[in-house]
Amino acid sequence: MTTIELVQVSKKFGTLEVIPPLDLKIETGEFVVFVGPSGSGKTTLLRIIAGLETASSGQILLGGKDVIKLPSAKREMAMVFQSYALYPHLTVGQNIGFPLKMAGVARAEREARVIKIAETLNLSPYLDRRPSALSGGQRQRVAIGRAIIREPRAFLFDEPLSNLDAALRATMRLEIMELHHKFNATMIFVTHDQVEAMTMADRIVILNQGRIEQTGSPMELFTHPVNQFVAGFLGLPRMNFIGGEFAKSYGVKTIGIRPESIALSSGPAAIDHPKFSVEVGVIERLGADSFAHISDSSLGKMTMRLEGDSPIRYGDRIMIELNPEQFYRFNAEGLTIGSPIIRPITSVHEGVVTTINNKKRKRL
Amino acid sequence: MKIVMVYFKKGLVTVAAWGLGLLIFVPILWTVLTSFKTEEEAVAPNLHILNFSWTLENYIEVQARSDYFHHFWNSVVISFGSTAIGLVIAVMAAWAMAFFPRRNTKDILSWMLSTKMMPAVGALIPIFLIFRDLNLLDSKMGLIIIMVLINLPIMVWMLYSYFKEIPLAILEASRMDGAGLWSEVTLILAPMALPGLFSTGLLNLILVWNEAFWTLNLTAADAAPLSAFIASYSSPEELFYAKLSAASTLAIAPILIIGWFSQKQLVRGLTFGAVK
Repeated sequence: MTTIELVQVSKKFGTLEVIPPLDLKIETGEFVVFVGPSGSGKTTLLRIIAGLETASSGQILLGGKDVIKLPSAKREMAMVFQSYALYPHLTVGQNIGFPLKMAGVARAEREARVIKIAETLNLSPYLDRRPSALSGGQRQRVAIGRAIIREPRAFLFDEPLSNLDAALRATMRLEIMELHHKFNATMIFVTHDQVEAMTMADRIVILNQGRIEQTGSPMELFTHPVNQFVAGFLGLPRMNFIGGEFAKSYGVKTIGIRPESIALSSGPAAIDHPKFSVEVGVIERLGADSFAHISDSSLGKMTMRLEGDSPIRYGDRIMIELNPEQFYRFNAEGLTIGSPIIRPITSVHEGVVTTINNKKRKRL
Repeated sequence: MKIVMVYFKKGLVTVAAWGLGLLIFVPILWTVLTSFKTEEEAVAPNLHILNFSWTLENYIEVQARSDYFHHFWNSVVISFGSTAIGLVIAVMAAWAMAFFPRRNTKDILSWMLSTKMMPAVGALIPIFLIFRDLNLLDSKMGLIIIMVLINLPIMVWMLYSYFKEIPLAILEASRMDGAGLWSEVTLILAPMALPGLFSTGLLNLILVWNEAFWTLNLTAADAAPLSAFIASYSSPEELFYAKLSAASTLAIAPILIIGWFSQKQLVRGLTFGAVK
């Protein structure tokens, strides 16, 4: 396992600069997720690291050594593809053993290692089958087996779960996280799914139009987005943005408020909490939570979280109240100029976990 | 009523297909039958389908007069030789075009195919002169070269469309797994493209075997393959129908048999890319 460092790496297709020069350092054993909308350059960046795409400039340091001129075959990294990319004419065993064959490992040792890997991945009964005779989840496990057998310097995952159904995706997510802990592996995982990013990453790299918008731990990015893009990208349903006069009255261009921060108003609100009567549109019920799509002439369309068994229905009018302390504030450039302080902030002091929520903080 | 119409339509299509098939097959059948007749029966005005005196004398005479096996061997060397060389070149070209496309790759492909639209005779005189100066006239090597050149566009096109069907990710996976160029092509690409390689080779074999224009114009006796051998039996007086038929039958038999046994691959090869 190794560190991966990108130094001023850029990519141009013809005259189009898809990735302006960027720097990024990934530590040994770190699980980094590249996330961003389609066209954000996350896959291109991964392919540059893999050597499947050439960088237009810059250096890629693996354990401190520049590998930019090395072909993929010599970079000793393993990759799991979205389409699995198994060799259809080889058996499962031959697929998993292929990297060892390329590395010149003797047949007997190769077979022994394939058997061992197959056991850990529950593939033992299928070693003599062709990939076409396997289910999607099994194919993905073969692809993972092929990646781990050579004990590569780093693992690269290119949206490996997007072809799986929801249940299987959740299982494979756990399996990959297990793998990460077991091998203490350096992993880069590309996805457009913010849930995958939030749940799996040690560190998230949010990309947009080839630029790194922000890097940090999932909670760091969730609570302290540097700009409107990051704020809108993480969190499900996404953050509501309110512009216009309402934002202006707080002296900013845009106000962001998360669906879970909008409260139903019952009784008199605090003096500085604006109240609105809104119309309820479609309600998405997820069991534990429900998400109501609400609209108001001055706020526009918003989403708010309700209790799972909330009696509120389509077409109802309800009173909501907003707590300005939960507002994210953005300036005209979309940069964050204020994050909410109401959210409990957990800090560790000499082994003692202190939870300071807003009320306490106010008193302090 | 509806069901009757469906059966009627099906029947009509079946009859039409059989009719067309027979129409195409009749000349071959006629040639084979004629080859077993005497010259008199071959030109007789009344139709003898099977009730004639079967004889092998045409075959014996054809072999005695012009050494069938000499020409057969020339055909084998020229068709297999040019197919082997052509495949090696076409695989490399198609690989580059399919997996490393540039802005002008499509144009190059179209341009290559456009060369097939030029009448061959347009290039005959320059090629004849070049061959004369290089001492390639009436040599198997010369014919192999010209066959490779005229059929390369088709081979590249066919292989290109086969390679296009192979997901790039699989080749990339092999690179990630540590495969160099040689391993990638021989262990991953070639086995996956085997049906394509086979049908491309087969089609080329048939095209070269049947090629007459260049063989007639660039060979005399030494390097003449079977297509030139048949031509030596055609005569304006129509006196040697039976012998001409025997020569034709001998010439087309090998390739007909190969085609018969591999028709599945052949059909797949010819329609490949057309139904995408």
